[in-house]
Amino acid sequence: MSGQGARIEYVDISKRYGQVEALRRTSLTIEAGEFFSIIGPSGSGKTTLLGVTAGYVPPTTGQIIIDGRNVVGEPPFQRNIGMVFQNYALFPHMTVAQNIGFPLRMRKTPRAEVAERVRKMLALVRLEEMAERKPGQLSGGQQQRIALARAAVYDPLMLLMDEPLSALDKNLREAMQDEVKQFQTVLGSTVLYVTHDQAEAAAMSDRIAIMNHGRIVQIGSPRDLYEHPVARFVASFLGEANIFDIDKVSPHASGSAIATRHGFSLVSAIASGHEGQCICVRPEAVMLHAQRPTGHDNVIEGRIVDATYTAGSLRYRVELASDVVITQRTPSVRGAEMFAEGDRVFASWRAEDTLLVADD
Amino acid sequence: MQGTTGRIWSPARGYFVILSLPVLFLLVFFVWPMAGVVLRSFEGGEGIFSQYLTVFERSSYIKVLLYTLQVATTVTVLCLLIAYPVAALVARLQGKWLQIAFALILVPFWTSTVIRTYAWMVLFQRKGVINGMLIDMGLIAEPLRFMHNNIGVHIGMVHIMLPFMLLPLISAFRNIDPSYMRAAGVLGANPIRAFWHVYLPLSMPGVSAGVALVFITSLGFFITPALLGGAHNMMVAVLIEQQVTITVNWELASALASVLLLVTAALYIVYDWVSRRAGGGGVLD
Repeated sequence: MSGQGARIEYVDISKRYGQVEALRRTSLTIEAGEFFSIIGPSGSGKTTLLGVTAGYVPPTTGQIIIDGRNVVGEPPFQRNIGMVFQNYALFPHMTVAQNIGFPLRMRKTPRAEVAERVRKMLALVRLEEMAERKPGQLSGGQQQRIALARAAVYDPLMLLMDEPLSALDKNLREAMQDEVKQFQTVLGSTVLYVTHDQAEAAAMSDRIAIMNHGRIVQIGSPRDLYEHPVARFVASFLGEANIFDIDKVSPHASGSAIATRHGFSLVSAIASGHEGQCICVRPEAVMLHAQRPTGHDNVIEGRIVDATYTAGSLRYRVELASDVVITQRTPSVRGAEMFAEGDRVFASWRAEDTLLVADD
Repeated sequence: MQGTTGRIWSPARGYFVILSLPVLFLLVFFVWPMAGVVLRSFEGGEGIFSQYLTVFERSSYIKVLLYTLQVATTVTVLCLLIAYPVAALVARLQGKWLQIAFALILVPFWTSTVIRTYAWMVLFQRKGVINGMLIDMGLIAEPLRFMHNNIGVHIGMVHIMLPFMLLPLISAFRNIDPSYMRAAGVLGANPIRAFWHVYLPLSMPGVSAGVALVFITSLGFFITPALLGGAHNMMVAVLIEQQVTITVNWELASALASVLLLVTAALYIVYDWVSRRAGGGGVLD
């Protein structure tokens, strides 16, 4: 039940349904033991990539090389890949123990060994006492853990997870994130995790691929993607982003001077490379002041249109121009004074936080 | 005691009002006449069980009962074997094709049994369509006998009963989430084992319902056995009808009907218990 997950290499993999290109030619390598997430809106191709990997969606082109072996063309039952389904797909007519033992019985494992490995798996997910229950008698979180146990009991080359936490309520979902991550760490499996929840992916993953319109837009660590998004789509899909449209970019002593389409100019530390860009400023990079600050790179006067206190943080909506409202977020300090709706404020941020990203 | 005269409203009272009308209807037009039949079976002879003694002493009546059970069993098995793959296919259809498939099942279902049985007679006659074709093709010299024997009854009844098997099966199959079969595949089951270990067990509620429906309807079936069956192989409903119309022995007919009722009820209870034990879910669920 130990051992290292496999290394997975996608080479030019694509899938076309009639005229629809669900997955454009994609090449990608997932390292052994890596927790790799794919996020994107529905229809972005992430589910197709999962189906192609599991084997129930035949790809139009390309190869999937798992530990040096091309598995394209092999039916799912020969691939030795584990999968946790969105609705768990636990067999309702079998007990928990029979469900976990199912993949072993399909591999003609001796009866005694099946019992032993099922017992170990149940211990790992701490549900020993549920062995003889039917899945319908378990809570959502327990079903989730059984689905994990069933997917991993036969030491598969990798674990696929298709939005496994989406059916759970928020608190349980956050607890299960830790559980899934710990499960993966103990087993050392390679995990391909598909979700539309960027926060969930960021909390668990070593690396994340963001997909849109059938292609991967950017791959990187969660922090990489948040701090250095390459495109407007990435910036706004992962966390919150204030986006400004650019009118003109010219060279500047500390990078570039940018005239926006909203009547104010900004300074960025990043030298402009190519056209078709826009600006992204993260909400926590913005500072608000009652008086015009001095020595700040970018200062714009505005008006508070919305002030919200959420557990642990303050969130303001600030109108900078008639058509531009930005979001600002700061951790709340006990007793800190809040701005009120209608207050005149000065928003400022550093040139380094003025990110130039491709407009898509 | 407190003097509260106002009655407390509860949903149960509402259900009682809604249910009272159909219950009353069934009491007057179903339970009452049925009780009449059962009561009548104890009349018209020496002692109250004399009609039943006649039924069980005469080997020809026993033979009819056994033949009825045999035909119902065979028809049920044939219907299940034919309907299972058809239903599995129909359950996977979508949109227009699903509508076409349902039309093909329901149009004959809605056509009168009498008309459909007469249609079989047109096909099966000595100089009917099938014999005519076979003779013209030179395959046979003399017309074959399809009617007034075992073959005709079985073919006719399977045809009439098929929708009763198809509809519950299709419904059960459509309730099987496709992700179960997908999961079975990814977990290492080849298509045959996935079917055997996952699809078949999950389809058992539909099998239970279809088998019970076809078997019980077949036990009391009258029109098709009467028109396509022979004098030597008589089903119990035909025998009962003869006792009423030809022999005018209402008491014996009532006893035969009561035996059929009892056998049906007993088989049904046993069957429901077995299918419940097998984990397929009882028909009464």
